[in-house]
Amino acid sequence: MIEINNLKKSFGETEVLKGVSTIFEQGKTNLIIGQSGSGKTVFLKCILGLHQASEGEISYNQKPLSQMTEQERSLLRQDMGMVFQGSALFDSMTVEENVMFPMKMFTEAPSDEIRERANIAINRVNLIDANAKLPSEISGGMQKRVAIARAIVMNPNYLFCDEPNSGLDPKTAILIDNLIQEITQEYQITTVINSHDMNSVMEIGEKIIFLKDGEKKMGRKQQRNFQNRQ
Amino acid sequence: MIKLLEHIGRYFIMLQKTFGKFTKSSVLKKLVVREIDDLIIGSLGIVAFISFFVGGVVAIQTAINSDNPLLPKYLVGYATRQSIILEFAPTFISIIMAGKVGSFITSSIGTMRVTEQIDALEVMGVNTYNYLIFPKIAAMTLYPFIIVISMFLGIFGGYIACITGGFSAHADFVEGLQLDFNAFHVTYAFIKTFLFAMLLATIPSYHGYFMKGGALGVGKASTTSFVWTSVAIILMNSFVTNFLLT
Repeated sequence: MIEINNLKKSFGETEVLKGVSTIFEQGKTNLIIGQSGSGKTVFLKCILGLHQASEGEISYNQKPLSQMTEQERSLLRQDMGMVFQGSALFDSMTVEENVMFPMKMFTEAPSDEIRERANIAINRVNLIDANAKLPSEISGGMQKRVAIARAIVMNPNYLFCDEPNSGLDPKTAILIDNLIQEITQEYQITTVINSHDMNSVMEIGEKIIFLKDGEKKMGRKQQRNFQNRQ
Repeated sequence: MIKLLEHIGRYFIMLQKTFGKFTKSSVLKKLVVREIDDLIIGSLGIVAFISFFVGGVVAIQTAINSDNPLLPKYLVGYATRQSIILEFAPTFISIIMAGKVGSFITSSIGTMRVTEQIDALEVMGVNTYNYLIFPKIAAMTLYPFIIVISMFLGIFGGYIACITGGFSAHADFVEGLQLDFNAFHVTYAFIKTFLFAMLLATIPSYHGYFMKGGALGVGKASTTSFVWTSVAIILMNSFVTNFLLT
């Protein structure tokens, strides 16, 4: 579970997040929606610790991020998986090497075991015959699958996705959405997705927060009305 | 001025973090080997080509400008040796490398920044400074070998140009090469080569790591990196020369 309390973030004079509070529950697909420039990505990067929040508190399983030691933060990061908007695959590595990368970095497992676990993750996202290919040689949808495989290979407790559907055709977007939801339920992880795709919201959103101009505009109650309207 | 100080401060913090939490040695070893291939082996061809021909030009120009019966004939070999060992090989080649290696470092790290690969590494808990910059520093410790090759080929180019062009006799040129040889000049050249290598690895890394914007930003960062690396090399050259040779 991730608890966010009165999160504020400014860049110079510009206040991007104006006190957002929410809870992301375990085993659920939590969605952050809003227009471009509403502060979704900054919000996600603050939760990940890539941006330092100007004010407010973020807690992982009731442990505030600000009170964690460097080592605790490092361990927490190994418990997170992230799917970036542009997939962020390492372009000098093959698909298999990309997925193996977190395990090579943080485990002492023998290379055969690492390869085996990477292939389990690759199979889980239904990627076939792509192991030896470079990211530039596969489609956008396949790149997203590789990014998901890399994110889940360490069996994380938290999965973050920034616009996982961006740049994909509607059919592939639905496949990616469903894949993320299945993985969330299968691994019982806390998944947080940034999206502006309303189909995603309708399909997989179990908890939705709506950001507008850096403020949370819609909570759980409104969410139901919102869904009824749709 | 405040902005410049801010950059200098951030550069030194970057260096400190580069030597912070180390990447797993088995991973780091592969990265260092790859960087040696990209930065050192990949530069040998252009360094050899430039050194040979510029060495030839230096010797020809010295011969033409010292065409006086009062000047000793060994002067061409002597002047070629001195200019190549003291200045051309360490400094001139380093400026060229600021363009070749520096742009490569800035654009490769900058592209990783633009495509969020650095963010991906950070989310995983990797010390991105160490992972990205340390292998480049380690690889550049081999940079003096490039300069040795440059020194040799520069002098050899001068010799070939003088002999084939009839500017100097073999015996005169070789006498000039051996005359008043001061081993400390070679030490001085290698001290500054090593310092330039550190600048060549770190300044472009800084510009790549902290670049802003998209693809256009990568190009802009590469140009800025070349300018600042060249400025730093020239300033360091002046400082080291004043400190060691005066």
